[in-house]
Amino acid sequence: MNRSHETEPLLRAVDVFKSFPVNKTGLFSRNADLLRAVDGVSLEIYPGETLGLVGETGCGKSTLARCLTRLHHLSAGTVQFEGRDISSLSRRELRPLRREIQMIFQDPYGSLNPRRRVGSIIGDAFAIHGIEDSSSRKRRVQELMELVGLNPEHYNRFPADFSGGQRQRIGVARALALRPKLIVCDEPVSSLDVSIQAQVINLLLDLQKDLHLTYLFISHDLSVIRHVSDRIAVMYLGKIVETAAADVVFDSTRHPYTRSLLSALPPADPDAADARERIVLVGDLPSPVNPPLGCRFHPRCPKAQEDCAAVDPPLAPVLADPPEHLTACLHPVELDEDLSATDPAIVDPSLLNSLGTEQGGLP
Amino acid sequence: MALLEVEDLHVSFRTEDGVVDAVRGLTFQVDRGKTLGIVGESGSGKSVSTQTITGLTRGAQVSGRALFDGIDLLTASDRQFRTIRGVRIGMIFQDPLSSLHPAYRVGWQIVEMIRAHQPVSKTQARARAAELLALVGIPRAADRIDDYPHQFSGGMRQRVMIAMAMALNPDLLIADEPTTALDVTVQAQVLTVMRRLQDEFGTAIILITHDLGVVAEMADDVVVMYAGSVMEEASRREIFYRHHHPYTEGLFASLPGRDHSRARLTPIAGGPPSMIGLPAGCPFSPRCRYVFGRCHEETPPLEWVYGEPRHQSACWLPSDLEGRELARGRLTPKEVR
Amino acid sequence: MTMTTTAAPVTETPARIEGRSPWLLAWRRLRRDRVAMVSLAIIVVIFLVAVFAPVVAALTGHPPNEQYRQTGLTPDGLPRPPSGTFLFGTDDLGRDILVRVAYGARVSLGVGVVATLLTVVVGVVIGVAAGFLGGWVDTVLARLIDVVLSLPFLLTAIALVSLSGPSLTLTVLVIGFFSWSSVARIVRGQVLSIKEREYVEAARSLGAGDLRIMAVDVLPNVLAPVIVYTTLLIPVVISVQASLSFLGLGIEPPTADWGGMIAESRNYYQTSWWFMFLPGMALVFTTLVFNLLGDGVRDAFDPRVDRLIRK
Repeated sequence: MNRSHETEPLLRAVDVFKSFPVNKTGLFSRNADLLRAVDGVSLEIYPGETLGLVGETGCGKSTLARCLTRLHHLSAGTVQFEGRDISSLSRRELRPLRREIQMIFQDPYGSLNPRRRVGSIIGDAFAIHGIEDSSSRKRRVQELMELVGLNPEHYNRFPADFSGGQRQRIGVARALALRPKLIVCDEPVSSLDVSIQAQVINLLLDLQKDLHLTYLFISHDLSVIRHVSDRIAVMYLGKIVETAAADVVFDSTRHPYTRSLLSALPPADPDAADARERIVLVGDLPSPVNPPLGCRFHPRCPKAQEDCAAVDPPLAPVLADPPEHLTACLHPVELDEDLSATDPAIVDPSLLNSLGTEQGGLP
Repeated sequence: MALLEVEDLHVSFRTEDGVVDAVRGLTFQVDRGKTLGIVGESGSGKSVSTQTITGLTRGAQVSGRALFDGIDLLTASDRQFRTIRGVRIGMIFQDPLSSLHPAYRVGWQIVEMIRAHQPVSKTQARARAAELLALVGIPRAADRIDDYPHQFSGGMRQRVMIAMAMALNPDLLIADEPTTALDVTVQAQVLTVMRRLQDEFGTAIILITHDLGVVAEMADDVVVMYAGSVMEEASRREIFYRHHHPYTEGLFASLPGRDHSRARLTPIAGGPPSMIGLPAGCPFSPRCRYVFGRCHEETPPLEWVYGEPRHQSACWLPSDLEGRELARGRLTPKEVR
Repeated sequence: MTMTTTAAPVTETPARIEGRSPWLLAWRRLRRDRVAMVSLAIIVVIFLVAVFAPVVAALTGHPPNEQYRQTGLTPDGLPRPPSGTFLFGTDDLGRDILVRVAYGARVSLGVGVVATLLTVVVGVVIGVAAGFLGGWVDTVLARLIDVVLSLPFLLTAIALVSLSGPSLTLTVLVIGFFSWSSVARIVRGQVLSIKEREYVEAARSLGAGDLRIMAVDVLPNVLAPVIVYTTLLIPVVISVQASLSFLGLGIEPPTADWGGMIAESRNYYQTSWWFMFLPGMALVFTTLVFNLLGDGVRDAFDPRVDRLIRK
C-alpha cells in the first residue's frame, strides 16, 4: 500500500458538479428543482493507494463515484484519468476506458443478474470487448473464480445458489476480468454479516497487493474505512469537508462534522463507549435540493459562528496543518477540544420544539 | 423475578426445501428496567424468537415457555394477547416505512392505538400523541402530528415508531435492529432517545442487533446467538472483556479498525449454516478455530464459566480461565483466509 | 427486511449442491401442479386432433366440407342427431360435425398460437425499446401504445373486413394489431424497474452497449411475466377469433371453424341442440384448459405460498 505524491495521480477530479432535476412539472418544465448531489468536488487518487470516501446518506458519494467512472455525465468540471481528460467523452470513446476503471457494487443480491449463470456474468467483459475466444474464456473465468476464493466448478451455477459473501466475490471477479488499474468499491461490504465482511475485506486487500490495484473505497462505516484506507475524504451534502491520511483524519480531526461522525460511532468496547465524547447532532440532514447558504454544515454545527452562514469555506489546510490535510471550515477543531460542551451561536429556528424553547439535552 | 423468562424455545417451519429449525432451545431472561442485547448474524434466529414470543409468527411449530410477568405468551389466548401486545410490550422494527401505515397521518395512528386500549377522548389522545412526539425529540411536534410517514426522514420515522411503541407506557420494549438502516449520526440520536426513555420510565428493552458497538453502548446483559441457539450469555463487560465462546471471539476478531492497525483481519471461516438438517454436535463446529473431536459428537449445553453467576457459554472448552487458555494454545487454530 | 407477520424466517442461504436454473425450478413447480399438468395433457390431445384432423375424416369417411343431403339430413331437411354414422351429428347442410370440429381446432389453435406469438414478439420488442431507451423513443412509443389501446376493436375489425372481405390472415393481423399494445405496456413497466437494477449498471460499467444490455440482461428478466401473459393470452385470442367468425368477420365459408359453426347453428338450436352445443363445448373447453394451464404457469413463476423468504 504505497503512495507517493511525486508521481502523477491516476485519477484527478477538478470542481466536479452533478445535479439532477427533480419535480419536473411537465414535459417542457422550466421549474425543475435541482438536486445538487455533487457540488464542487476536487480530489486525486494516486496509483497503488486506497482512497476512502466516507459520508452518510445523501452526501453524494455514490453519485461522485459514478461521475468519476463516467457512468454519469458531469454537469460541470473535469475528470482526468492518467492525465487524459475523460469528462466529455462519448460512450463509444469511453469503451476502451472501461478496461481500466471498474466498479464493485454494494448489493450482492441486486448486482448480479439472477437469470444468468455465474460464468457468463464473470466473463461478460470478455464477450463485450471481444477478448479471448470462448474456449480460453472459460479458463480465464475459472482462474478468476479461484483468485477470489470461489470453487471454479461452480461455473454453471446461478447467483441464487450462492450466499451473500460469495456473491460479492463474484462481483469482485467480474470487476477483475479486464485487469483494471482502478477499482471503485461502492459499499462492497455493507450488506454482509460481520464475519463475512472480514473475509471480503481481506480478499480486497490481498488482491490489491498482488495485482497492484488502486481503490476508491466508499463506505459509511468508519471502522472499515479506517482499516482499508491510506487517505480519507469525508463528504457532506455534496462537498468534501475534510481530507487527509487515514490516521490523521481520525487522530487530528479538524472538521466538526468529521468529529461528530467519529463520536457517533459506538466502539465495540464498553469502557471506550462510556468514556467517549458524545456530540449528538441536532435535527436532520438538510435536503440536497436546497442546501444551506454558506457552510452547509452550519445549521447543525456545534461550533457555528456568524460568519459560517455567509461564507462557504474553501478546502485548504487550516491552522498549522501540512498541505496534505485539507479542511473546509472557518473555525476548525483544535486538538483536545471538547465539542460536546460547545454552545453554538446560531440556532436553526426549525429545530425549536413547540414550546418555543430549545430542546435542551434532547437531540 | 425477571420480567420476561424464556425457557427452551423451539421454533420450526416447514418449507419447500425441508423443515427449518429457526430457533433451537433458546433460554434467556430480561429484568425490569434493564436492557438485554441479543447479538447474532443472519440466520441466528434472533428475530424469529422475539416475533414468536409476541405471537407474530404463523405456521410455525413452537415449543417451550415464555413467561411474561407470569403469563406464558406461547399459550396465551388472543384476548390475553390484546391486553399485552402494544400495552405492556411495545415493538419497533428495522424499517419504519413498512411498519407505519403510509396512508394515515402519524398522529391518527398513535391516537387509534391509544384509544384501542384506553377509554380516553380523541382530544385527550391527541394531546398525549403530541406529548409523545415531543418526548422522542420530534421538532414542532404539535404541528407534525398531522404529517404522513413519508414526510419524515428515516431517523424521525424511527422516533415516531418509538413514540407509538411507548404510547401506553409498556414494561418491555422489543427493538429489532432499530438502527441498522440508519446513518451513524442518526443512530446516535435514536439510541440516545431510547436510553432517555428507559431512564425516565423504567422500561426494559430487548435490543436485537448485529452491531457490537450498539451493544457496547446500550446493553446491560448480552446474549450471543448462532444457528438458533445461545452460544454465550453474560453481562456487558464480561462479553466484551472476558468472552469464552469461540464464536464470540471470532466476532470480535472480525471487526476492522479495532486496534487501528492494518493487519489482516481474522474472520470466521466458512459461511452461515443452513438451518435445514443441522449436523450433530455443536452448530459452530464446522467453523470453529478450536474444534476437537467431542464438538462434532455432542452438543455442548449452556454452562457457567469463569465462576461468574451470570456468565454462561455453550462450549466444550474448559470453563475456567486458565484451562481455557491452555486448551486454546494446544489446539491448532485453522488458517483462515 | 422486517415484517409484522412472518410465515418463515429470513435466512442467509449457503451454496446449494446443484445449480438450479430459475427455468428449471419453475418447470419443477409446474410439474407438481396436477391441474396444470392435466390441462397440458389435454392441450396436447387437442393439438393432436388438429394435426390429425384428416385422419379423423378418413376414419369416419366424411371429408369436412362434404354435404350429405341424403344420409345427413332428416326427411324434413333438418340436421341429424349423433348416431353411429355421425358421432357428433350433422349440421344444416348435412356435414359431419365431428370432422368439422376437428378441423375447426386447426383454425382456433392455429390463429391462437400464431396471433399470440406475433403479438408477443412485437409487444416485447416495443416494450423493451420504450422502457429501456427512454427519452423521445419512449415518449413516441408510449403515445403510440396509448393510441392503439384507444382504438375501438370491433368497429375497426368490421371496417377492415368490409373493405377486404373475411380471411384468415386478416383475422390474425387484426387480433395481433390490437393486442400488442397491452403486452408492450406491461413489458415497458417491467423494464422501467429492471433498468434501475445494479446488474444493468454493472453491465454498463463493463462497457456494454444498449443493444447488448437489452438482449442479454433485460430480456431474460422480462421473459417470465411475458410467458405467463402469453399463456393466458392464447385463450383470449381463441375466443376473439371465434367471436369474429361468429359475426362473419373471420373465416370464409365453407371452412370449418367453431365460431362460424355456432353462428350457423343459430336457427337450429331448438331442434338440433348438438349443432350449437358441440362446437360451443369445444370452444369453451379449449379456452378453459388454456386458462388453467396459464394459472399454473403463473404460480410456477411466482410462488408466494410457503416459500422461504430470502433476504
